[in-house]
Amino acid sequence: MTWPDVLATALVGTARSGGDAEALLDAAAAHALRRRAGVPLVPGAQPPPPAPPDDVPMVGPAAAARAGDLLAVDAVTRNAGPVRGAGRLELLAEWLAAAAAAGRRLPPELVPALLDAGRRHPQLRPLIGPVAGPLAGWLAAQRADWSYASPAAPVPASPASTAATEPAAVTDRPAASDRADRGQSDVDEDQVWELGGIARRVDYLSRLRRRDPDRARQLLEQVWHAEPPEDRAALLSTFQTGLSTADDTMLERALDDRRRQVREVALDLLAQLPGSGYANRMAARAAACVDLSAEGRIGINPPAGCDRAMRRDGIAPRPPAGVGARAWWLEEILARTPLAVWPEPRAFLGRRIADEWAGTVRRGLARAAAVQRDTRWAAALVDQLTADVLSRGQPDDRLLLEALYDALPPEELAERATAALRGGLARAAAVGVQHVLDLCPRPWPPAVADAVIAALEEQLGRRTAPWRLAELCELAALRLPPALAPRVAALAGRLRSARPDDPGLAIVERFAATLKYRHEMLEELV
Amino acid sequence: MLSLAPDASAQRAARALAGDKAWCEVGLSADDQLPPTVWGLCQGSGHQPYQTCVDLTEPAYRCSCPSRKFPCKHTLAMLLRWAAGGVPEAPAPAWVRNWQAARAERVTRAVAREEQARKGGEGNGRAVSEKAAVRRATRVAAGLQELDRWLADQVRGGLAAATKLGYDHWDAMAARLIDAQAPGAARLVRNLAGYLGDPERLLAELGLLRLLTAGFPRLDSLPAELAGTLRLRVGLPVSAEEVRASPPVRDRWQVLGVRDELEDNLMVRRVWLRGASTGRPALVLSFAGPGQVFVTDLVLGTELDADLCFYPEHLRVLIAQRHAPAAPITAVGTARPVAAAMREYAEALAADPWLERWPMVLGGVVPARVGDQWCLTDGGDGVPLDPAAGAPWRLVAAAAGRPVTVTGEWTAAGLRPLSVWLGDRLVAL
Repeated sequence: MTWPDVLATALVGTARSGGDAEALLDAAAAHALRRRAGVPLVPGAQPPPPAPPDDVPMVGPAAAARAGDLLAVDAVTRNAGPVRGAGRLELLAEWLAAAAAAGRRLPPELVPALLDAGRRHPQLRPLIGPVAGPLAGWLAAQRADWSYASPAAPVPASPASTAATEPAAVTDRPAASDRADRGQSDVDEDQVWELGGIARRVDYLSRLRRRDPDRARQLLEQVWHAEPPEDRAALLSTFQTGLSTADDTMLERALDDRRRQVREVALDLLAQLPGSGYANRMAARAAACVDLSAEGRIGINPPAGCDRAMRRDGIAPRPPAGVGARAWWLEEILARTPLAVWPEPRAFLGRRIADEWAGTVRRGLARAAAVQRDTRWAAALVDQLTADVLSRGQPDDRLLLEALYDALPPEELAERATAALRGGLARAAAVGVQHVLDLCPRPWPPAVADAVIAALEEQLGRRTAPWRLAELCELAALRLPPALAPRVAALAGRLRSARPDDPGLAIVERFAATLKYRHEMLEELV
Repeated sequence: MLSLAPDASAQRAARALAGDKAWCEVGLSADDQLPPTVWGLCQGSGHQPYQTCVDLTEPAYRCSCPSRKFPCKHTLAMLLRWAAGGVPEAPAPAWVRNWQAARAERVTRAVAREEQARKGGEGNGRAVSEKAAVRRATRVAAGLQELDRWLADQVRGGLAAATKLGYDHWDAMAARLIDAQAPGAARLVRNLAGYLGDPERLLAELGLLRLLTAGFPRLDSLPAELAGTLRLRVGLPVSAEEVRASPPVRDRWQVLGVRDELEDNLMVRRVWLRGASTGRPALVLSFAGPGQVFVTDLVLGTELDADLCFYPEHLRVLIAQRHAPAAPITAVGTARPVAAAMREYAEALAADPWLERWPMVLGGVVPARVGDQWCLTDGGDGVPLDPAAGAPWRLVAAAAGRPVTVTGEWTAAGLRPLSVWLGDRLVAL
């Protein structure tokens, strides 16, 4: 009896098909053993060509073990580290950068876990190439969701302008780009544009914007009316890359779109385009409201109404609660006006202005400075607003301040953080020092580090509730130069012996532990 | 070293303590009366410093601290110091000598007890346990007889019908085998419920169970080795004394694979060893209940010079005696090409038809994909990997397309990779 016969008989049952049940089982056992002993191997296995050799030395065993912990996805290992959540990611990024700086590479068996981390967290991607070497690209070619790491993925033309919206492709150590390869992928990719899902089409269009913005715009113009509204919004948002006045007409057209989402995307883009028709219209509206003819003064003549054209340009007709309608329209206009139409910021802000309008004008200008990322205006306005917040402390103004900080260069932020902390933690917190520190260069420059530790020490000496202490300690644990670990450990030690029941003690001790962890982590990599 | 730690927090604590100034005195001592021992005094939160010492040949630990973790952070930290070369040679203080002397005495006593048990005869205990054994054998025989009838019933009624019955159908038979004190057979029956979607596998397993039930009544006429294996598979207990009585096998045993699995609320750790010169595979099993930690000191990538005693199925072992501390592996010489490894498996299967896991060390293989199936190839046909183990990306990346030595557990579903040798280090998978 062959195995198929035995199986067929057993499936039906010997009661129906006849035969002896015991004998059938014995036969099954004999067949099973024979089949198990003669393992069915897999024919036609073709291993991929080997990965390019990598002669960069590997990190030491201790550093490798730590990287393994940082990359682990199981809950036990994840919770064993000193920090969790986003902080853990920051530690991983620091490890990767330090390993690259030391000229060492990650053990190969950890590269898949790193590629997975990069898939979930695009901000890690630029750090992968230097520590993973050619192995990353070799692996990426074998798995679709790692394709961002493949050497064929285009490198952004101007990282500064696109980094904010586009995850940068992994740059491999050896510059690998093959013309023929590129041509080949273009052919495949045209099909993506015709047939792909919306995510892949957005991806396709934004990559095309990087290479050839005009061609990308023409492509979108051709299909504009056939696209569903959500897709129109998503596709239009790719214009962020390579934005220029050539896009003006297309964006104006989008302003008349029936769908609000599409109009909002167009408005966001137009606000960043100084030479556009939109900017000119806003400048004209602003000039009508703001009278600069008198020396040393600013006269304000707010708009009388919000007409159709203003609404089309995105000005919200209804003011938020507690704000007068005309003041609101003025703020909206100023927020959308190119700052270049005004005189020098310090000179402008130095002019006298009627009290009732001062706040409105400043808010409008601050919003404009934040959106247009104008460093000079942002700096001048931050000075004014800081003084205001400290004297009055309106929560609205603090949000505005935080938006302005985003427009300032890191070195300037470091100075501001230091100055703010000198006034004590409570005052610094009122002007959003947390946000400034978050934007400061990493690790913090010595002046900032000193100021933070001094402020913490002063706060702990005060014996008040650990107000905002936790947040600041969490941030400082990840951003202070790790060499300060002994100093922070000493701080924690002093607190422990002076006041073992202080509610802030646990916070400070975790802070010290994290810093120590980073210190050891970097020592291992030297 | 840190893989000895019972958990992650102990690891962290040990790392912190290793470089600390809390150590007042440390030393490494070895002489004729004393196996190599690391010892130290660590100032903890108590008044007296803790006395910590480790016998490097086992390792065995002792620490006077009150921690319930084992080994405690002081022990681990001291081992870390020792590994980093931070422990000078020094004459052993009295408390270390006392500890080692007490241990030596315990071992002598245990050996004496075993001798006594082996000579046996005089004591009442032996007669009682013999009676119990006979009683148990009768119950097991009855249980297996029932299983034999049940097996035939399944085939008589047809597997197509049997697969439509719920889990209860299989669990009820398994429960009756537990009552009959045949836990090995019970486990095999309970596992049947997992193959309901795969009639070929189901029939094969039924056939293998039939081998058990048909063989058990003829135990006395079977060759001794096969009889021992069969007893073990049915679930008759084998005492540690019996195992220790078998001739020990000395070798440099390399730890080539460690795998933890959850079976019936119990964590089971399988540590696979290979003798560097004999090429023999060996398995060290250990168990941990919910919330417990494994007390194992076998670390992947190390080898230990030791005497092992084999269970009757010639795979599972007890470590009878260690001759030297574990050391890192410097070469894996026991790798076989695919064809030879498969032949070895076939021979093992002939000796133990119920073999579920077999350790393989495949040399010169590259991971490759055929459709959705991953396999390891040395140029010819590939060894399939168990799809349940997931895509082997760690292995793929470690090999980077070049031939490597891979160890794994071979099962009916395919190979489960456990580690890969990269020429200078063994990487867990």
